[in-house]
Amino acid sequence: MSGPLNQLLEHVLEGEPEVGDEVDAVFRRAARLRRRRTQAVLLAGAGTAGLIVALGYLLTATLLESPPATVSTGPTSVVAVTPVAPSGAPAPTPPTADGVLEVVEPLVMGRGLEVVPASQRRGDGWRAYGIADEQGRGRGTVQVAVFDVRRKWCFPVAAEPDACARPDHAGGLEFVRYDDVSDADRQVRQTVARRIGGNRALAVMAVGERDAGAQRGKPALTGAQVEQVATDERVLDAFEADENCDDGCPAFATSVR
Amino acid sequence: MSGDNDTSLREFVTSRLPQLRRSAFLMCGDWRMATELTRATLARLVADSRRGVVADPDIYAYADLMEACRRRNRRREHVFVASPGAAGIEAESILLLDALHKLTPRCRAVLVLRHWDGFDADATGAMLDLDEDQVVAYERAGLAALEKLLGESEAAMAG
Repeated sequence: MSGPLNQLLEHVLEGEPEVGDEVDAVFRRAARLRRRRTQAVLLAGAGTAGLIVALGYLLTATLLESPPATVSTGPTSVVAVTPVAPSGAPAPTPPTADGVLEVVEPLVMGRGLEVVPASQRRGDGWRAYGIADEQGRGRGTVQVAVFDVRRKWCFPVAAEPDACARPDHAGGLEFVRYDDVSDADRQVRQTVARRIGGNRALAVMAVGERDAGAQRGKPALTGAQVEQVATDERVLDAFEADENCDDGCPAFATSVR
Repeated sequence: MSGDNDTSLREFVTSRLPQLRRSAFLMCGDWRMATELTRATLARLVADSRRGVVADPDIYAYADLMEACRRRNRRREHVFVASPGAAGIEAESILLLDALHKLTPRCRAVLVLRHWDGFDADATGAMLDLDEDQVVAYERAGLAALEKLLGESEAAMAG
């Protein structure tokens, strides 16, 4: 039936429409198809990249939020080793963790002054900060020191070395203010404080710029602010337990020992 | 046929388009649909040839077209739809189209490819994803069914 079927089918195709511009239409459609495929590939690529970024972000966030690895402190398995600082060397507290400065600096800035970063010095049991005004002129220093004292130690009296001053109390601390602004060229605000019954004394002293006149000779902190610093327990706690101002210690107007 | 040879692609499309469209018409009975299916098939052929993924353009084109006709056949409602503005065809042709469309799509495709397009059983099998024995079996069954259907139709017309 192959021959007859072929001939029969020819009759069926009568009335076939003209081809017209079908060839051009094919190529136009091919161009559209190519554009769609390119867009699909780009979208898929963008989606994949977005997925990778999202997964990376989640993974990073998860890793950063996970708690630090801990080591078992079982008595027979781990021996803790504490590094020992050389004698007389500055305390190993990193500069960014200066608890004393965190208390002092806001008070200084509140008076329109600033702690000069380059002037900051520190040693075993003491910290010193140079102060400047908005024009960069020196406005003296603020010094803070901690001293090991005997349990029977008493607050000194500047005029009488053998006498004891009667302290005021603030929270768990006792303190005495030693302010001397009688000399315009050497104005001092100092407070000595101690935890009641403790064996560490804290001295805080703000000294104005020496021999610079009455205005610039004013200490960077008022007497009340010096007292505030001295009785802020954070300051005492900012020093390491083994710190003691006995080597290279700055001179205080009223000596603690 | 290289992907970047547009001239040879255009020549191929120009030469094959009428025959492909006729085959599509025999498969679906609608010139408008046949034109649309042929255009889509050849567009895919051109796009894929440019990407260099077409090994044999004839096999590709007929295989794609027959598959497209098979999918469209499920929504077909009329035996014959003439092209716009064209006159109708003779009743015998409609009977033949009707008989063709009573065959299964695969059986119809084998008859169109073998008896209208003139492909051998091997090429027809490649286009329809059949082995040669299956092509022969479909062809034999299709011709027998077609002969019977045509006989019944002619008897009904005579009666």
